[in-house]
Amino acid sequence: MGTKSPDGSPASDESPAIEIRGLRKSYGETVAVRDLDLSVPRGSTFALLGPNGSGKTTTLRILLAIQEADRGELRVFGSTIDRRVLGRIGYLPEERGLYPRMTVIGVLTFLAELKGVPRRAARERVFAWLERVGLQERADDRVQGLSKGQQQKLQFIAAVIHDPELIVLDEPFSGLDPINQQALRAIVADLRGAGHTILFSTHIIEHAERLCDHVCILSAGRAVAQGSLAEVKRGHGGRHVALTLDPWSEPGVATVRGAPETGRVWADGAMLEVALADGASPQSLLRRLVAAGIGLSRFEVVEPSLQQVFIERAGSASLEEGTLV
Amino acid sequence: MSETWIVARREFAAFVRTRVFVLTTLFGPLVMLGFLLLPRVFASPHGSGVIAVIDRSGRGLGESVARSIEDAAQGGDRGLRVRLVKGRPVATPDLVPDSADAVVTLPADVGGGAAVRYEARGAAGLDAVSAVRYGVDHALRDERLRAQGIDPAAVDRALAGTSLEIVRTGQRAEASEASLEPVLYFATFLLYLAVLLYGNAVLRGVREEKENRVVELVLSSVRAESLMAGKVFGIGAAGLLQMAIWVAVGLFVSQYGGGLLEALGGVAPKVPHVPVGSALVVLLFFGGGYFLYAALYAGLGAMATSGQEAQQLQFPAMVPLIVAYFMVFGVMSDPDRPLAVVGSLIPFTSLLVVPARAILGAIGLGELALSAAILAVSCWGALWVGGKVYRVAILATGQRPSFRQVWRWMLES
Repeated sequence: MGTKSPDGSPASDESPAIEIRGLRKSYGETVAVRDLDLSVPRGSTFALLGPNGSGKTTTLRILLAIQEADRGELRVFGSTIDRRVLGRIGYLPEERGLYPRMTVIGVLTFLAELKGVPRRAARERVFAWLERVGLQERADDRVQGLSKGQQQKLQFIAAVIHDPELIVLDEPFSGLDPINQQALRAIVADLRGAGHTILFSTHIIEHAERLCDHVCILSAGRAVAQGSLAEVKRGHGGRHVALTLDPWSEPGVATVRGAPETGRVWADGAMLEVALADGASPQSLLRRLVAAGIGLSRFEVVEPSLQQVFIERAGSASLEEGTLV
Repeated sequence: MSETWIVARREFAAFVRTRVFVLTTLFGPLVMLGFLLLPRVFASPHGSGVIAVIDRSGRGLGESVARSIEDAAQGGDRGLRVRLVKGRPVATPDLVPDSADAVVTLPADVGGGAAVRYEARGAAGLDAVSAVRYGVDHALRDERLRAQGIDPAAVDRALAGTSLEIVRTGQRAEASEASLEPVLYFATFLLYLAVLLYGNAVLRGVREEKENRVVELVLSSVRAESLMAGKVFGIGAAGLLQMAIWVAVGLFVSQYGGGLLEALGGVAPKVPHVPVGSALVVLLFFGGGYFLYAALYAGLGAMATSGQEAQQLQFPAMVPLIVAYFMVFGVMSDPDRPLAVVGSLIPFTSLLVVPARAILGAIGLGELALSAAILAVSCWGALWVGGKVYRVAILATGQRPSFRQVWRWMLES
């Protein structure tokens, strides 16, 4: 677990990495974050999921003291946010940039120093990271001479150069080509293995499902689901059945939809995902479909996909708030 | 290490490496040299401008008028040559030499009410006109004095002026005002230019940080107020370095390069003694004033979403600086007038008015302390307000937030 403090001593308690209570932030009439409660366990990889405009970036900016909340309580490693705490957090903003006329070594050393790393140590760490991402030859080049992908690597280095216990990544995969996405996923996996707490925001479910063990779904500034991945899926409505009609037929789909065991149905061609109604068993549904003479090539009890949870939770909440997803 | 110091060090290093800084540092002294030499370059060259004097007075006044005009021309270094056409009571056009640029005709009743006529080819040069006016008046005066039996030379001796040395009691300033005036002009202009140049650099730096989108990353480590203060200090330090280089070059030239300047036709500046106390006041108020304007500019830079917008926002903030600049001219004529006192208390003008009065030795310790205190409080206020504006506006993109919006955000935060 990532419980080391900057001076190497163990943390005094096991409070969550992040604890947010009743956070609210509005811009004029627009409420960006409304009464958000959030708890990020230490050592977890936590995805903040939400459609555009759901308040993810605002929440992260408040966490990093870049913006001030209207009200609410916020603690990181059990402490209120101050410079010492900020030194334990690494941040990769969604809006990224570096000083274009500075050298690679200059800009990364500067950013490390701002996080409290002494100059000499900062330079050593920069060289180690540049070697790790294959940019050691470019240390003395100006940032503006590097390709976009290379600059993205520098931005990521800037977020982790001070070996933070908590790494906050805002839409880390946006703008990355598939190779760099893969490289970033590998680094994130390494950091998770080393016990760092990672909080990242994304609106791409696949990334969240692949990387995270905890999730919070935001919609219109409010948390609509939160917990470990399994908890969130379970909390979404018990068991689901994935089935494939073989052959596909309209009456077949109608039979599935009309069965008393069926709750909601999501159809994607011949493949259907059925949320079972309260108290219904998958065996009962299977018997009914076989008795009706419907051909099936797949009938499997599954957990609801994060995609389903996300669309339903974020979508319905947005509709309640009168906004579109 | 303080976060403000780390930011200031980066800003200093980045600013002194810019092409603008290197070029202005190198060419600044050359421009100053130009200021010393250009008046001579543009002045009428020696030998040009021939004035013909046609004497119809019939009493030989032409010769003394011609001599007086020449004296006036030489005294003012106007490079005029005068040619006397005499012996004919009535001038005809063929008497006027082709080389003459102007003709002065003394009528028969000169001095008795008839006007002296001055005809020039093209526009009448002010230098020549004033030399002619002096020459005619002087010659007539001498003639009248002699008619009264008075020696004009004796009158000149009797009316000879003396040099006035002004000593302000209770202070150490002992230089004469005459020699302080150029220093005042120069110092005021330099301070005005510096605040404008470096304040603008702060505004540009903030805007670039916003455009480069690096600001969010930096703000995740540094408070907005510290980032802004670091930027203002770093660029200010680079500015001080540049001014120190300019002043050092200026002192060196005045000390050792006087002969060379004079050989080139220029006038070597004489640097009067300015007491250390006055110099410190200049430095203190310049520093405070720069900080005040730079913090203001930083807030405006944070609001702007493009270079053009930044320019538009900057202009209103320049107005008090321009007012302060012109205020100094009023202060110079009477450093104790109410305008000077009020200008010393308003922080947006005191940065130029107080140094001017300090150089003249015309500000008391109590007033100085009050001005400094007001400026210090204003700097703190500017840092606070600028930091707030910076924090709420720096991440706003798209349409520029209005002043009203920013004010509301500030209140909400």
